[in-house]
Amino acid sequence: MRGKLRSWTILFSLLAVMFSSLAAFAQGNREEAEDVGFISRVIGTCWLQRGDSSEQITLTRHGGAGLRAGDKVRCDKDGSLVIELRSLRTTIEASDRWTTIPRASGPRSDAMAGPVDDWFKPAGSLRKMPRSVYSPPNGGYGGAVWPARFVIRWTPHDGIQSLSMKILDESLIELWPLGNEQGVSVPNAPGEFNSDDARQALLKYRKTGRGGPLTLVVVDSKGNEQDVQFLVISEQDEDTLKSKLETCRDEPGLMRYICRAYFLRRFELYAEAAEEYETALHELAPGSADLQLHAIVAHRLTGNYARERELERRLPSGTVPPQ
Amino acid sequence: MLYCWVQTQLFVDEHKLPVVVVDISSLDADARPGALTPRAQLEKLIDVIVRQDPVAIGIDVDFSPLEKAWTPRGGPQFFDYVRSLPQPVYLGVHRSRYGGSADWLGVEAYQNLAVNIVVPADDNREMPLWIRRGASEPCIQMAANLLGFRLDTEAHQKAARGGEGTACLPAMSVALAQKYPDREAHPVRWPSSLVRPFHEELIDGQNRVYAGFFFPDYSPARYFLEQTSSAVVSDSDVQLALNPNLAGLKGKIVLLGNTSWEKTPDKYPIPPWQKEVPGVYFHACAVYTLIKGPLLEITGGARLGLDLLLAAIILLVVSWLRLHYSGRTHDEVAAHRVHLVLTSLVILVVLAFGYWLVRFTRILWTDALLVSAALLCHSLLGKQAERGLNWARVSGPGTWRRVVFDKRKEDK
Repeated sequence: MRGKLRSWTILFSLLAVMFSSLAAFAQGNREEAEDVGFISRVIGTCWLQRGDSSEQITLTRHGGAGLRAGDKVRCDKDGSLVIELRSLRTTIEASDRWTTIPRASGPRSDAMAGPVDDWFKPAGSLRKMPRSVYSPPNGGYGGAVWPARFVIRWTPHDGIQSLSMKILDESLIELWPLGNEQGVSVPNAPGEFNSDDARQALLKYRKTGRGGPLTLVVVDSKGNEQDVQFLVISEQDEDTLKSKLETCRDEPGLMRYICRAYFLRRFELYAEAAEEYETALHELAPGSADLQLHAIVAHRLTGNYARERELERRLPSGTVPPQ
Repeated sequence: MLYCWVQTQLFVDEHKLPVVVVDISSLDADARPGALTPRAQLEKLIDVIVRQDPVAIGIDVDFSPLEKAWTPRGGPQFFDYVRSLPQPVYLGVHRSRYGGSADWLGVEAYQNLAVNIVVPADDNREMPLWIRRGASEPCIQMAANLLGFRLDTEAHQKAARGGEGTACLPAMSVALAQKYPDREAHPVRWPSSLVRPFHEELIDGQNRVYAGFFFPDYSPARYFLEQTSSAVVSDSDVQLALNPNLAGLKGKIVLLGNTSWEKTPDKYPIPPWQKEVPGVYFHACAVYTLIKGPLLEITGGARLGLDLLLAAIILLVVSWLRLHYSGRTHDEVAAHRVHLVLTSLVILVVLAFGYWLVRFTRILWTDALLVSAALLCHSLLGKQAERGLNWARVSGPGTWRRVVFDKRKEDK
């Protein structure tokens, strides 16, 4: 009996050792496949070699695309490639030789440390019940607005003619429009309402030193009401944000948008962050799966689930957005 | 001054210098529209040099990464190119020299290309061998192999064993000299308590950063200056203008650096004449020294012992002469004259010995002149001091009485 017990103990020990070795091996493989950088600008004709296959790099398709340690890149005559590695930025110039992407040794220490690090971690977020308004942000745990750039946006639904809108302060006292309890009536179809009065009201409110939460009350022509709570960034935060965005100004290619979106998100300006990704998708890299993934996450934070679904449909097969 | 004098005593065969300096001051450090990029210029120059089959190449340019990116010349593309060459190429590191091995060139994978290019501005007599964090290994082992000494003390052996987690950044001269196949063997046979080929100093106590130093032989510096070749840049090409004194670069160590006196801030007064020259010549002299054999420094204890020994010899000889002639002749031994003659003799021996040490054993006994001067002073002062004492002995009591007493007491 004792002998049998000893055999079982030895067997279990061996199995335990085997499993931990397998786990370590899997971890090693995962690290091998980990992205160490991404492509932020492409000029001319450049090439990527991963394993045995090589393909042409275009910003349209590869903008923001992750590179792994061991990938090889090169550019033809007059071509160049800007790569944001986890540790540093590098430019690949025209050459006949391939350059191997090295394993990064540590995080960056410059102003782009946050944006670059963040690009490698597109995280999922809480998904609320579908609503139509997404600016001010209405997904995740809410968000903030930048008074000077305040615009109300929503996804127009069929059968709705108009919407009435008003903003209440934290004591549920009307902030905008003043003297109109029913709110401002706007047509549903455009999906956007740009009101200078609303912006002035928010700026005036912020001058009192308060930051919210404010509530945007939207009632559609069928009588359905939805409330969106949001904060107003303080003047101090706005100054900080402007200086941060200034650091993004001279960043090359896609990095400029990645940088802006990162800092906007840090101040919970999710709608503006999503807009940055949309601009990048539109202007630079419409076919970039990585950029689409980040845009998907950004839209989820605003509550723009319609755009989120649309982008998800465009993803290459097998690409799963973070949940 | 003494160090400079010692430097002039070293022999140089200017026709067989193992190191060649190539001036790269005409190459762009930053991109210029319509021209080759700085990286492409450097690659083209290296291609030309490599075709002449040198032993190794060192680039006296700081390739440490900047805050955000690599320098316009540096980066993975250039580092990969350098690694693909048949000859070893070493890249200078200045800004990040005190960091870990991953900091030197931005990524751990390139650490073997990195070399320290700092020239100590405060003491130009020495050049660094390494900069290290953590335990002394592999720095000590590297120095032992290169400088030809055995790890004979327990401290050295203990340091060489505890090498885990060490970041040892070799100096440009060390990396290049290691690659030279015909390095002259100069095994250090003296015990390390008497002479040492290097010493180590703590340069950053907070981060426990140490640097090893050695004494370079600066005597070939003027020949390196005379034999400097240059890179010639056109819009789409870079060529090498070889110095007419050179037949080629085959079998040589090639150092690329900015030798334009006006363009480089990296210039220092070089012994023995203390004329300011660009830093690349310091590295050239350091490589030369490590190839030809290190200059050995006499330890503090050995120096003190040697000084005391010389003084004791003089004293013993004078005493012996006095004793020897005391019972044999009525004449008094002229101790001072004997002392002076002996001192002069010892001074001559000391100077000859100092010269011999430097010239034939490469041991730097910089005290030779100092000891000679001290012996001379001692001899002259000794004579004056004895005269003073004699005078004090004879006239002292009378003077004392005159100071202390008024007049003699009357007999009662």
